[in-house]
Amino acid sequence: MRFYLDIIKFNLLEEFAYPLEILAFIIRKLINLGFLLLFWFVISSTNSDIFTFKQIVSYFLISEAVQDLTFTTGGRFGRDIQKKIKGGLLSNYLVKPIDTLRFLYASFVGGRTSVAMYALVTLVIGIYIFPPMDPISLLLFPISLVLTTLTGAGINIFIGIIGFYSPEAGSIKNVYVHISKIMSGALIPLTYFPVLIRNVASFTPFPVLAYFPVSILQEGGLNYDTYIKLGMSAFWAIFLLITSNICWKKAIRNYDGIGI
Amino acid sequence: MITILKDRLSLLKTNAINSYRVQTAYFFENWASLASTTFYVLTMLLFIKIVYANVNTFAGYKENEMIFLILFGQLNFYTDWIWNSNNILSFIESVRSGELDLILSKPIPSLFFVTFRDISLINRLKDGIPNILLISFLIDWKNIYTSWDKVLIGIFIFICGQVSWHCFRFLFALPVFFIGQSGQLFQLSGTLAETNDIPLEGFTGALRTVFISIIPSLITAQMSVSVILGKSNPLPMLLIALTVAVSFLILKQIGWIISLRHYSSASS
Repeated sequence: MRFYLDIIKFNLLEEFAYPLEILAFIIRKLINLGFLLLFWFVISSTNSDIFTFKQIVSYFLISEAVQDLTFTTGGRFGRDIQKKIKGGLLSNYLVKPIDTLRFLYASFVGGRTSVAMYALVTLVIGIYIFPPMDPISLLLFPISLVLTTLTGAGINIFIGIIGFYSPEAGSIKNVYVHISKIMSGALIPLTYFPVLIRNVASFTPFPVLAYFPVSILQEGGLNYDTYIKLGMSAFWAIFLLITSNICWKKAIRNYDGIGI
Repeated sequence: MITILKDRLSLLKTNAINSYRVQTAYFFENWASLASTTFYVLTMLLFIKIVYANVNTFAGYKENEMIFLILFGQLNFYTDWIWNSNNILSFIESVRSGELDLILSKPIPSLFFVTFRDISLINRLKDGIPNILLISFLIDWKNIYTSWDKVLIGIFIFICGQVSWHCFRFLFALPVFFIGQSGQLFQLSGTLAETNDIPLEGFTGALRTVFISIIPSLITAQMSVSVILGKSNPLPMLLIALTVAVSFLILKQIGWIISLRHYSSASS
């Protein structure tokens, strides 16, 4: 465990060596968030009976924070794995006496620490704007965050695995990103989905990545709805982690180490 | 004058043929790219469906008009992808690697060459046409009320918007001459175009002025659509788009001349 913490620390220090990159990243995030809020401001100003601007702003701030804190944004971990496979860099890790997947994940997490710090700020602002209805949700929220992290890691490993079968897998990752953006509730809360689409989305792991944690924090309590959300999150976390690890072990046999 | 035009057209043709050869080299990536862009369009359309399942109008736009705006947003995206962003990225790389030396030493108009170096026509058309057709199919054209003069002015505004946006992003690439890198700045400028989902009418007051004249991201899609749908007065809009385009072209030219004076080759 200590070894992996050191890996996180090392990558964190490496990231902080380029402060301008961090600044550019934060500005980009703020611009994106600004446009999203403007979009909802325009909608809520003419439809205030359906959308409360305060609640929707809080939803998106927390939703962005959840995706960044759980390192699930944009399938980036999966893309990193794909790049390492394509360039033959994975060989560097396979020859070492380490758990490759854990090592790669620790490196990735370390390199995303500034993102997580930014996310903490947006999370606090989101909670301040629209405080949770039931204080118990503040205790349930961290549990859902852990489950989201595990689910996101499982999905990202699957995205990475595609790299073993096709070196040009970047566009397939983009397909996942597009579907996930809407089905996870990152663009619009699932509450506003037509019933049919909402039901379809509920049977996929996507809502675990944004909608479930945010709704648990904003509206959760010790009730049936929260138990279902936590239960489904736990199911997807366990299922995806186990199956992705099994698939990784099988897929790695296809690795031909381009670049060696 | 005719010789100059002939030379430039010949340069464009050569660049387009070269880009075609590069683009057709990777079979799987080509089709996966089409899948990616198609899924993007499908999710955008789904998003619009979900939004309009809850509201009747958005900034004065009905669902059909909003899909029409998406069509223009996509046309803007693919046109930009054919000639703009990839060329600016190549330009940044050529300054960093010193390859610009070779370009400057050739008897060709260097700014024109770096602007139109890679014309990714085939790939972009292959990705774009199915998506454009899909969106067009979903538009209820009978309920798009416009006239030929508005459409023509709208197309002209679209072209002015493309020119302005190219020059704006090119200016963000120029710091590579001074600090040796401008990749992040260039990406930052791209983020400022994430306005495509919001109609022109959603921007009011100073915000609209900024996103038309200083950051010209509203001209290509939103302003064109607003004019075509008769939501804005065509002639003042045309004048604004033209003024912004000419101003940015002048700024690009000035920026290029100043930057070249500071160019210290990376390869020498």
